[in-house]
Amino acid sequence: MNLSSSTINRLKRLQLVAQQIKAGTIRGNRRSIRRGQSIEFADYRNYVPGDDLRQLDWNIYARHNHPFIKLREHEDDLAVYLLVDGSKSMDWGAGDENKFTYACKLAAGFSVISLFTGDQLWLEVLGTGMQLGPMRGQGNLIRMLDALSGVKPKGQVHLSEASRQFNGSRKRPGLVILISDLLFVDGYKDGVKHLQGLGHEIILLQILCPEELHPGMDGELQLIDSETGEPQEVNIDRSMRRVYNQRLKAWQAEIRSFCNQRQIRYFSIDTSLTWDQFLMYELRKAGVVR
Amino acid sequence: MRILSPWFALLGLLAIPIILLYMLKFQRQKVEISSILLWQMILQDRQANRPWQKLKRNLLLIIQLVILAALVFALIQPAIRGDAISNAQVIVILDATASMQASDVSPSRFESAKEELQKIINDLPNSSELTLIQASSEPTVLIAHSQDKSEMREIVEAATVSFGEANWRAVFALANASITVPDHLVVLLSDGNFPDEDISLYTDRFEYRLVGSSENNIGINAFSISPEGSGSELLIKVHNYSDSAKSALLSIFQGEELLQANSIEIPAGETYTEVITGLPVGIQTYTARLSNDAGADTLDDYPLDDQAYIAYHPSESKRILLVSKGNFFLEKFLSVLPDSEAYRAFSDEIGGDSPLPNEGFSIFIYDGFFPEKLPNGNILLIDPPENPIFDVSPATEEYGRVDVVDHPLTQYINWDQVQILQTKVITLPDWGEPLITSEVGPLVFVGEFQSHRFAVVSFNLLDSDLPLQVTFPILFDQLLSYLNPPVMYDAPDGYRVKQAVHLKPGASVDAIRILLPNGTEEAVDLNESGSTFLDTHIPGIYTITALPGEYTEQFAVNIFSNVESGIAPRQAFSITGPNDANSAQIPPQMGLKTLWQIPVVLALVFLTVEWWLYFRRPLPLWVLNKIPTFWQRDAH
Repeated sequence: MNLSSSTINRLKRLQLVAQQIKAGTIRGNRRSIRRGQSIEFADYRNYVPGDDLRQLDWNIYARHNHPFIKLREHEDDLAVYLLVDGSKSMDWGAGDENKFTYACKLAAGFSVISLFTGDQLWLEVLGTGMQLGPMRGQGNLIRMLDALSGVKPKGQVHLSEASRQFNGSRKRPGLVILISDLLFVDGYKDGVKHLQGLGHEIILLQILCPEELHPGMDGELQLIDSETGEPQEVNIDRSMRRVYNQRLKAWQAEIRSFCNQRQIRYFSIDTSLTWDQFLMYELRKAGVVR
Repeated sequence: MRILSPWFALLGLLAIPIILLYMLKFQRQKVEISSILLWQMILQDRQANRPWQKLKRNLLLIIQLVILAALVFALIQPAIRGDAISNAQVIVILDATASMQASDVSPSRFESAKEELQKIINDLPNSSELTLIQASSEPTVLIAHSQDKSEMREIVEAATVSFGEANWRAVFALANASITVPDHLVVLLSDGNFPDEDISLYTDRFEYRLVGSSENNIGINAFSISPEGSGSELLIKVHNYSDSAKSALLSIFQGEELLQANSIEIPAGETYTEVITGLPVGIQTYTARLSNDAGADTLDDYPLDDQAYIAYHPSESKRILLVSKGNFFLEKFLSVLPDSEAYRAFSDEIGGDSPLPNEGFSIFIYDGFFPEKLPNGNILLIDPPENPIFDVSPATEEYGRVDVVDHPLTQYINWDQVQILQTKVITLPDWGEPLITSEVGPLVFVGEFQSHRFAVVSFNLLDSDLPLQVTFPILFDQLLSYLNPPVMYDAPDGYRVKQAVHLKPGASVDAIRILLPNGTEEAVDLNESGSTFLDTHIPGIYTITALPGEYTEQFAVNIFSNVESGIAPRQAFSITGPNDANSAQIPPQMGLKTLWQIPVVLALVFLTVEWWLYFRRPLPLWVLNKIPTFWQRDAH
């Protein structure tokens, strides 16, 4: 996946805004309300690629032959978890309007912002086994982009189960950005609740392509689910399409209501809108980035 | 309601294979989409996708089942009791007599009867056959045992009414002969104007449908002329057929001139008679006309008998004047000539106190004589002297070979045995037609000159043996017939409508044309014994024209029928049948009115809808909005 240098330049000037920002363990470049306070030693932690080598405790490395990073108190960073839905239903839409392509580009955009901000980034494409991170620093950008380029959506994703597994490995609360069409067979609510249960702040980006927002099908059809292969017979005519649109809007309103109740920021995205425009204007306008 | 063909209901079982075929052949187009989650949200009722629910939602199947039901409903022939006739054989007698032209029923009784007949045909079951007999002077079977309704309608539409009476005995005989099955019905569409003794119907399945409502009529029932003294006398009778007194203006025309007009008033059922005397003897036409003296448009409901006609052609014997020096053979011939009065004058005695009569005779025969002035009549010249109308040369014995020209006047003439001593040499004038010719000129010729008919014999009869031959009376009878043709028809007092006219044209007549009162002209075929003209179907003056020569005569045709003029409709009557006394009030065999047309129309409508839907023609939006959608119901 390639991002133009101009896009990267514009993105790296942005910063993710976590409304319920979690206290970090190392200093980052994030402007924090606690910036400038004491930098006393607090703890060690394992080195992860991308950590500032200046914070490596070379004495400990000499004794144990294992790198540790010295943690200091009163310095914040942000754990950013990018969860991209990699189910087969995401592989829908033509060209740039393909939902998975769109999601990957959005993820790449968020990654650029996070890496250049110094946040700790974790990228996971649900359902594909692709996990990357934690990582920090812009040096990981190429690796991250290569990883996104090589992943293909496949199979089914059960969000609740995927959330449970994610919680098991990522204990540190952070900002979870879930990019999905939310067309999960077992629903999205349980999964989102699990993510929230660990204290993560969640931004929910629902991606739907124009074919899903305004289906042009007509006639007596047997619809085949691309993800499950399950058939659904339906007679589609003008009135039926009208009902579909009504039901879609009701469903999105239901999601929005659910998210509002749980202080989750929810965005519904039409892939006909370019991803960088959405990220740099729509999210900026909504205060997700600045 | 009755079901006439209940077994056809079994065809309703066809619904089962139709439904099965739909269930088995319910193929949908497969379309892959990202997720069916949203559609499943809409189609929450998964049961709706079971086969019978598919059928429930399939409009085309529903329409096909409705079509099947409609067709089965039509095939079982549901029927309700109505006024339609359902007998297997229906024999309709359509009264086409003159009284059916009465206008008391708009537009006329006959047209009203035709409408009634069309209704009978329309309601007739397809399995029934119909026979239509038109009651007129010559009863005609217009439709014979037919089941073709379109043919029936066309024939009924083309049927015309006559101006005369009907031969009702023959009509009922035809009806009796047309009955071939027990399940029959004889329907009489008439105003009932026929003599009781003529009604003879050998069935008790009889229905009389009365046409007509009024008896308002006054008409001329006699109009004739006869010689009286030195002139002629006209008789006219006018009868009031109404049940109240009526007045009218009676006008008599002589030719085109009004002879007399007077207002008359006749009590109900009475006859007014008038005699007009002192009329001339000559050939003349007379017309009597009844009109309304109150200024109203119509005098009564039956205008046909408001006019009557006479073409007077007095029968007078031929008066013949023979001028000769004395010709025994001619005198003998003329004395035995029927319908003629012959007079003789000796040519030698003419002059001085004995002038030659110039008129008063229809034929003048000049034997070896030519008058100074042509008489007022036709002329037979025998052995003519020099004269101003054709060239005559002295007699010669060298006249050469004699030929008989093929001519109507030379029929039956055999000249082979005739010997002539000498003959005058005559140059055939332009107007002459030779009958017998020689090498020096015509021996006998005829022609018309200065409004006179001439017949010329070039030789002296006493110079030949012609008077001794059989040819002699034949030739002279032909010549006299040519000079004074007899009246061509046999009833100088006139004819009734549809009465045959026997024409007796003279031998010189080649062809006859007759001009009808309606302006059409008909040619009449001639044969040896004359000819018969049958087309006297219209009352009025007919003009006969005999060719060649354009000789014309006229004859009159009138209705003069008390039966037809008495237009009062008869409500009921008795018929003689198998038991010799059956009432016409026998209830008709009313049938069942089948209702197959309605479901067939419905089936066609639904078939059209199905076709429309099959090709997915867009329905108007207002229609779509009114159609309840199953999906909408399920979505809620």
